[in-house]
Amino acid sequence: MRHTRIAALFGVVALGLALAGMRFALAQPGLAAESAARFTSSDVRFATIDVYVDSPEPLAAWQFELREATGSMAVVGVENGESAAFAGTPHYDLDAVAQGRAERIIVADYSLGERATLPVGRTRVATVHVRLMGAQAPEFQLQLIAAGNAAGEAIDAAAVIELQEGRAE
Amino acid sequence: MTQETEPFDQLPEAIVARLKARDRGLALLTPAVDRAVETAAREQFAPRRSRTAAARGWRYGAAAAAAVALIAVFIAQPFSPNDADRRRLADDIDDSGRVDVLDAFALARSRAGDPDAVSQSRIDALVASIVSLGPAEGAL
Repeated sequence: MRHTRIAALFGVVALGLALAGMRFALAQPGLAAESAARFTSSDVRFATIDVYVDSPEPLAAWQFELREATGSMAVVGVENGESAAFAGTPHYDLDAVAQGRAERIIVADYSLGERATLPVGRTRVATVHVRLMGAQAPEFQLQLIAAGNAAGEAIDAAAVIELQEGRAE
Repeated sequence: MTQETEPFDQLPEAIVARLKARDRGLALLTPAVDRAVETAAREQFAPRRSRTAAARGWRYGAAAAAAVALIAVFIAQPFSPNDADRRRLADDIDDSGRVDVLDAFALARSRAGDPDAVSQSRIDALVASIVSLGPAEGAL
């Protein structure tokens, strides 16, 4: 009887620990610093990635996410594109970039400008500056999350990137 | 005169005879019989008692585990919308089913028409949450 109660108590404690462990495991963020530490300085190089949106009608808002499948990319900066309607720096997680943990990036912007000033067709909306690590070719993944017209309606646009390799470190 | 016979001396003979006859009818339990009965009783009831105790122990364990599970569900509330879900629903301005830049754009257009409709800080906060990559490791 006494042993059974002790066993039951251990069972309850084990269940509690398992629940706490699951919560802890689910709460863990990505290990960006670890992947950066895998490479020597000779494997590091910089590049810029131009992101274009091809819109069939005047583009007033856009949002994309850029990833790199092998984990060799770190975003070091983002700048605006070529359209005067989006003249300011687009929105992105500046803290993550400053802390060197931006293995991916979400960039977005909108314009309240007149419809006539909004870009139509293929337009460079942003340039992403990245540090690439490792000798293998990067595998970029671009997702256009949203694109909208001046009325705020979603439009069927497409997005592509162009990689400009830079200097090696 | 002994203690056994003393009370009988004051009783009528007939009563004494009947009492003595009754005494002869009593079963005698010797120590050997007593031990045998005790041993048989132990053999009969000991396994049943241990099975009952084990079953009771399992019931305690199951009840304790169920109580812990209930407490965990009460704390975590996995089936009710949490703060993040409620915030997300509130930020889905255009009812598209997700929160993206078009929601921030809708707020900005609303503010352009009526500056009192929504604050710029609300729009900025929404855009910041849309492009956020999540908290830094170890951040609270």
